Amino acid sequence: MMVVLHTIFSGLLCLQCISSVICTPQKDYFDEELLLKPLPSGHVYAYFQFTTLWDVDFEATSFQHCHLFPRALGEIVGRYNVQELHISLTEGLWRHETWGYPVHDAAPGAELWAWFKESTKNIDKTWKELAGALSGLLCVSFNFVDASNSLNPEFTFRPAGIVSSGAVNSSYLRYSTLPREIVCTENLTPWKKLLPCDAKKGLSTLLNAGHIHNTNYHSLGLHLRPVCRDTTCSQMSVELRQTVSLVYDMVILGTGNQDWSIKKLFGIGLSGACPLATMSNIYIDIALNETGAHFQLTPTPPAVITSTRGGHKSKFAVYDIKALDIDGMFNIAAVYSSSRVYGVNIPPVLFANRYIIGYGQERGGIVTKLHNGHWQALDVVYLENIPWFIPLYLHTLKIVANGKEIKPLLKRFIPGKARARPYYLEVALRLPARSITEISLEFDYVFLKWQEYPPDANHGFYIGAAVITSLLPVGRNYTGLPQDGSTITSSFNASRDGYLVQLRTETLIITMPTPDFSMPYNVICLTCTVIALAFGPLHNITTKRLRLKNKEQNYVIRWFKSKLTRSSEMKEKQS
Amino acid sequence: MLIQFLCFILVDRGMILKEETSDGSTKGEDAEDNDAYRIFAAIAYAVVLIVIGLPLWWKTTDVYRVSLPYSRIAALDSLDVTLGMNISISTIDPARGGRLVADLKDIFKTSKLFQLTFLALPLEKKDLASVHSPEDLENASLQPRKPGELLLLEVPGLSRFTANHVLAGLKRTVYFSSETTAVKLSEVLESWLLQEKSLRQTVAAMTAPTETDQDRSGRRRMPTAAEYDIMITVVNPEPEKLHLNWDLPQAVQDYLEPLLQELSLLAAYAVKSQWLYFVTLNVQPKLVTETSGSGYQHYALAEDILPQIITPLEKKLASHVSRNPCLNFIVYIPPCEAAPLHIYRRQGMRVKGGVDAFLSPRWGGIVIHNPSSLICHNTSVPEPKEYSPDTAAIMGIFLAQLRLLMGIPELKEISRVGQLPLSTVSLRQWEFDALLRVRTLEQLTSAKLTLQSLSQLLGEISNIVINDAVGSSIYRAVNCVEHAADLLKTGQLDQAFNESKEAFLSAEAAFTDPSLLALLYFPDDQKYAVYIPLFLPVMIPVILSLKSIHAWLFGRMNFKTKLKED
Repeated sequence: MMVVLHTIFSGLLCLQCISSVICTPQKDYFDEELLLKPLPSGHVYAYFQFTTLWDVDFEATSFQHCHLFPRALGEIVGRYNVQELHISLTEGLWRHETWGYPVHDAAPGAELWAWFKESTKNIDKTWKELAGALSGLLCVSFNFVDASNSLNPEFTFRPAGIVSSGAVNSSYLRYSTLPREIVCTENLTPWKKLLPCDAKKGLSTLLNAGHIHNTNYHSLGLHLRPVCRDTTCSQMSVELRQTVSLVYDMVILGTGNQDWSIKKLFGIGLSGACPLATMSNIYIDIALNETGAHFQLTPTPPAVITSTRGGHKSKFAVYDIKALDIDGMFNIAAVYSSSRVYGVNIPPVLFANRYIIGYGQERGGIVTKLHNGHWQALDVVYLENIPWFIPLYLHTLKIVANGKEIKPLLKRFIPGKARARPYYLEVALRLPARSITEISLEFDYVFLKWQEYPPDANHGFYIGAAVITSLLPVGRNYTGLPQDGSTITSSFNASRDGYLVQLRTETLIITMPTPDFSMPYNVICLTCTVIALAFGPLHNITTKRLRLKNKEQNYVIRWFKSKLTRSSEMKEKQS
Repeated sequence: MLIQFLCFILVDRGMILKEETSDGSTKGEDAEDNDAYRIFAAIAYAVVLIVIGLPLWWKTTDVYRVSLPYSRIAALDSLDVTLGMNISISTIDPARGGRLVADLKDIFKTSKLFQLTFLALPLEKKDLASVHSPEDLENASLQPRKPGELLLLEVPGLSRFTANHVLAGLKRTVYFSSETTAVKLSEVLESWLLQEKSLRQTVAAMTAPTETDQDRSGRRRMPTAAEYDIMITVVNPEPEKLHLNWDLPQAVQDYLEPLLQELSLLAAYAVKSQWLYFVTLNVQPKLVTETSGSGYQHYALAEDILPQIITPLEKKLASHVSRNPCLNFIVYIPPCEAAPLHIYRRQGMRVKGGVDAFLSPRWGGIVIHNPSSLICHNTSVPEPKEYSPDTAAIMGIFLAQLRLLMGIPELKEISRVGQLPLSTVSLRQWEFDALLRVRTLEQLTSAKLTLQSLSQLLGEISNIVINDAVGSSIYRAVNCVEHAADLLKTGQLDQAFNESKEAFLSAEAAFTDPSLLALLYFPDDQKYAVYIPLFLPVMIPVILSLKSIHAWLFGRMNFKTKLKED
């Protein structure tokens, strides 16, 4: 097994050598990879990663001349002094309990976080401008990101790439989520335009909107960071990872059995690798083949890698697209021996869920449940991101583990300020072994100014996902890439001291007290009418005086009077 | 029942009326006093509502607007824009110099735009003694240094260097031979160095775009801006077949930077480059086989479908950050199967000089660079074939296109008049001066027009807010326009340019400031929906009571005069 791996690695290295000779002026490499993982629940997880590595200093001037790196993004990064940039656009919720951990965890909706360079002057302003530019680039509502919904968490987010100084100053970090954002084709199209092969060649041809948006979960990602150029780390490179995570439900695809294939999932076969790519691989996780439902891959994989990571063994079938001689369309199919057999679900070590408590239109609460299935205590950092219009009370923070209240190791709280700053709460906890820990907080429902309600106010207001960060001691269910690696290949046999996971919980939706929006106009009309009605008599009483006219009464009144008297006389006569 | 109720009310009223009349007849004096009180009350209402209320309402709902120099803006219409300029004429024979000065003065007397001052400058023979080539002339010490000035220098025996009678130098000097006449010199001045006609047309086209059209160079020139983006895009439609070896940043550094450095006084430049793969032209070139024996096969792209090439490229050229106008330069390198690709004119001829490039006015240029046939036809080379594009050829075309796009015009040919070829520099100083003049006039005219349309707009739409910042930039623009015009008259071209740039930028900033629109869309119907139900019922009795106040006041006056008369 090791031999196979070694040859693949050496082959890879060789490829890189050759290409570095070819592209003398622009030293940049592009890799495309697809990881397919059948999940025990019968779902299929497809993870695309397009990695661009560019041997250049991470400076604003470097981004003026781009080769494989997308120029549109480079211009933004250079202009706004960005050190690191992470974007995810997600529809649906990743179910950690049944699906394990994804390669990149993403909060439902849009999520954006960036580190700025230390030379940046006005970070809040730059952040707003950066978000605005990105909103134009990816057609996302990032233009609504500003200081009033951004945090700079101290512990949860660390720079993912290399940093110049050891001390990390979180004042250069901004994090924001837009939980209400709906991700659709309009985001996918500009996202695909950033790839060097666009959607014309290679694995990106599999990304067809119709077959992406019918999934249970789909997430677009864009991660930019500076990395080491070599092992000595004396020089910097720029790494851009563009990712797509998809979870297909084979029941929804409606085939009546568990079989899946590239053609069935993406609606199209693969016509070949992107000619600009150094590496173009498809990996299929076949570990479940042995423990769960048995399936057969056609064509038979040219290579199989066994990866041991954190005491957990997994097997991957590897298809090197560049080496394949593809004539027409290439397809990989998994045929199951039995129609519906699902594997035993072993939930991952750490997962969480979250819900709203309370009743009525006045007081509410948020409860987050952290499940620790490990036999040891786990240290986690819990980040709460509550919008300013939900006043939160720190004194109501209660952390109960298995019925016993526990004290947090660390607590950071910055109360929100209306229209200026969200509520920021970061808690470091030690979760006892095999425990369920409940973190609860209470808040009030408040009225907003009438113009601050969104167009569909009765739909409710979203609360962004909480982020739970932990360093897991075991690699079970873990698919993430190691920090020193760029490609999926680097995650094979990458045993480390700990495995960083960042879980995003559910986003919540609450119904705020909503006024009747026609009220202001009604009030104006009513007030005007009352004033007008009151003013007339008042003016008359104070400025006019009733006086008897000596002249004969008006003809009409006389006629009226005579009529009346006559009718009353008649009545009298009748009686 | 109802009728009975009405009856009761009427009877009741009648009773009250009766009572009052009995009161009134007994206490006549009291009634007079009461009347006065009532009138005072009516006056009080009128004062509170009309004298205090109305101005208060006006003040609080007024749109904030700084007082602006409307009269000065209107006066810009008759602003006298003339370009003052010193032209020295150096001849060895002072008498000939005097004659030339007089003749040229006479010729340029009618100029509406230029106020030329010709000076005769004595020239010593020894000044020209060491001159052995035109380059030596360039290095002579008598070159004018001030932007906008010119020297016409007589060089006896110019025919030693060139066949031409007149030779325009690289700096601010024109060399002419001893046999050159004043008419010839005036022609060179008029159509090469001053270009009055083009300048006047530029201004006319800006002020009355429906009546006059820009001339050729005016249509091509990029609009004025403080900064330009220059984007170079290399399009390689099939990278799996052809691999390009080209250090683009280095090429930009070597070829474009020197020119941009010289143009940096005009504006700032940001050069960017990108590579695009799998982008095709979206047009089908025709295969042409040359009949003349050789059987040379190539592909032809008709000139009239060239605009269709730009559209599919456009979506990859936009910037999400920069607001500057962008000049796009595109190198299209066709794959070997579709090479060589040539641009054909409508008459079925290849374009002049065999250069497969075209320029899109105010947009940029496209170069089709065919990979060499040596590489394409060599079957022993595996794909992707390596190819290093000819940097000098491509960049040369880009430079020429950049000059045109920046507004350096092509010169009309005049017989026996030539210019020194560009060597170490990429821009002649007199060309730069001419460019400065065009830009100054353009910016002045633009600032003037912007200010005038803003002032007209403010007159027409009362809802536009003018805050202090916008107000101050309007003042600055007006000041700068006036100052620039003064400087132009005295011939300080570079300072005039800077002032006009400031005027242009300030005027643009004022006109496009988002704060102008703050109240623009506050709908009038909503305003009236609120005001009418409130103000109409309140104001009608108050206004009607004015009549009785008036009657009462006059009645009192009449009464008093009567008393006096009595």
